[in-house]
Amino acid sequence: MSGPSRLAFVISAGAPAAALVLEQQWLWVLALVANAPLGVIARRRGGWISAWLVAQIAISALSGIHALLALGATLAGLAYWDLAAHYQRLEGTEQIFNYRSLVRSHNRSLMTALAMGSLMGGVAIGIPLQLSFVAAVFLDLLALAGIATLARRARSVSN
Amino acid sequence: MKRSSFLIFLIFVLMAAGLALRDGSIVALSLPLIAYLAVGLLQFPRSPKLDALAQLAQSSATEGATIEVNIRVDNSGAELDLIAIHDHVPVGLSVATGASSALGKLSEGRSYEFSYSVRSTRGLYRFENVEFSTSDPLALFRRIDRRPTARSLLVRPNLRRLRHVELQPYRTGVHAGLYRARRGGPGIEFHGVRPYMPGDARRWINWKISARHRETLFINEFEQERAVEIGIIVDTRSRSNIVADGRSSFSSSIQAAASLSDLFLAQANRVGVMLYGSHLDWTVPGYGRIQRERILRALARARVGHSQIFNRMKNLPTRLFPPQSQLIFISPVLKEDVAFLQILRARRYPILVVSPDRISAEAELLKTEPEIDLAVRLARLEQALITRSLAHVGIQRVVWDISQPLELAIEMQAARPRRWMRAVGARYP
Repeated sequence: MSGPSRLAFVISAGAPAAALVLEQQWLWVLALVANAPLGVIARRRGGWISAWLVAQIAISALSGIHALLALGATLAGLAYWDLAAHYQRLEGTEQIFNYRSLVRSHNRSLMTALAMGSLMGGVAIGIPLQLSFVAAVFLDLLALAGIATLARRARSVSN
Repeated sequence: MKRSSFLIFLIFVLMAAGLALRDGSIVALSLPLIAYLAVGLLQFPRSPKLDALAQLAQSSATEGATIEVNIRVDNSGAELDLIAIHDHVPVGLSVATGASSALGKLSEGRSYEFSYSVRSTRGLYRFENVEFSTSDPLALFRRIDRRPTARSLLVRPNLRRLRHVELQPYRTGVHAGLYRARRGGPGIEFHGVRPYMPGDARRWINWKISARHRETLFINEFEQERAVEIGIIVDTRSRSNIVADGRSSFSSSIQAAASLSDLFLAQANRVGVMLYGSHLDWTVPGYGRIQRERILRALARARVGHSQIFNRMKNLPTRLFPPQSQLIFISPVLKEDVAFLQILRARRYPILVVSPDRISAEAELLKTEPEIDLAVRLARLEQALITRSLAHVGIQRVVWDISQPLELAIEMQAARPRRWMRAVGARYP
């Protein structure tokens, strides 16, 4: 496990765990503790890393910790998920050219994505907005339509 | 599941959960994922302009040799943050050194070159194309392109040089060769005497006989040595070649065919090869180096196979072989093939059978148990019976233990005994 990857893992698991310990939500702490070995094993096995991320986001979202802390845990989880896959890809290849440049461009993209994510998430959490249920459904449907378009586009570009 | 599909699914679930629980903070958790997806999509290379040049160091090689493969990729388009290059190695070849794929970043106008080597086994191989997989730096979206770089590699069977194979052909060609033509003329081996004719060389006059006949002079005549028309038939039927566990004695048959055709062509004979099994592969008889290359190509392509038509030897088209031409039949020989060989012999084809020893090859794979030993003995008896049935009609059979050199087997079983051995009554084995 590389340095940034380890840091992302510790933040993703440690920050919500600390908050939940302070709030004495022992069941959720137990869930986080149980999920942590999965993350370590998943780093080696590869296939389970997505399951770990799902569990991590679910715990952060449903445990009732502060929204900004949950956002931080999600961002760190996302970074860990990405870095684990990235290093697995590199380790599985016998021949790598322009290694430093490759890693640099990957890290740059990841940092951009995390910065954008934290900005968007922070704004969404920080600015309170009262919406009626119908308006929320409408906005959600709109977002889902956008994602569906994104998915279609994704399918068309990656043949 | 693809990484991008997984993220889209996760975003969908978070949004649905946020709506169901009327909790905006859950919806907010999907925003980092959306940002991550957006960065990947924006950085995905739309139309990479890549060219590939792939070369083999040699287009033909012998079995077991290593052949170097060079790959060069040129990027004439925009910078590619993540590119995987993969050269498909045909089944049957294995990578010996280096790697046939590479991963990295390729800047605009730059190229990358790498090489690897493959270890060859007999066959004709085609390297079809070089594959590129270009992705965004986060490896969310992927595009696969292939550039045709057709290359073919012919791996010829290994040749074991043979010195001589004793044949007794009925008919010989007009060209000078190494096989006795059973006709008097220039040569080395003594053939007989005949009355002197004007123009005959005086040094061949047999003075002892001439002294007994006052009116006539006699001269020594030698046996002519001529080239022979030889047809090599290789049995490629799976039922006669497969031993056990998918192994076969076929590679030995091919090696024998290659070595024998090489020898006969080097001795200026006219040689043709027929592969009889899943189909008929007929290399028309010819002379010289080009013919040698043709035969080696045919042998390189040869595979064990099965066909209803060519399942039995009786469908072998004998009219392709000139009458009384020498036939070399390379096969383990099944019991039912004996009758066909006897018919061929009856049509006055001199035949030499070379049989890779299937029993030894199979016995090596089995445990040493009394029942197995008995089975091996019975199989050997059956083979001895086949050899005797063939010898009965004048067909010589060389049973070749493939752990030994072919030359030794031929020397022991098919060579004409030396003169002094013949003088003391030694016969053909």
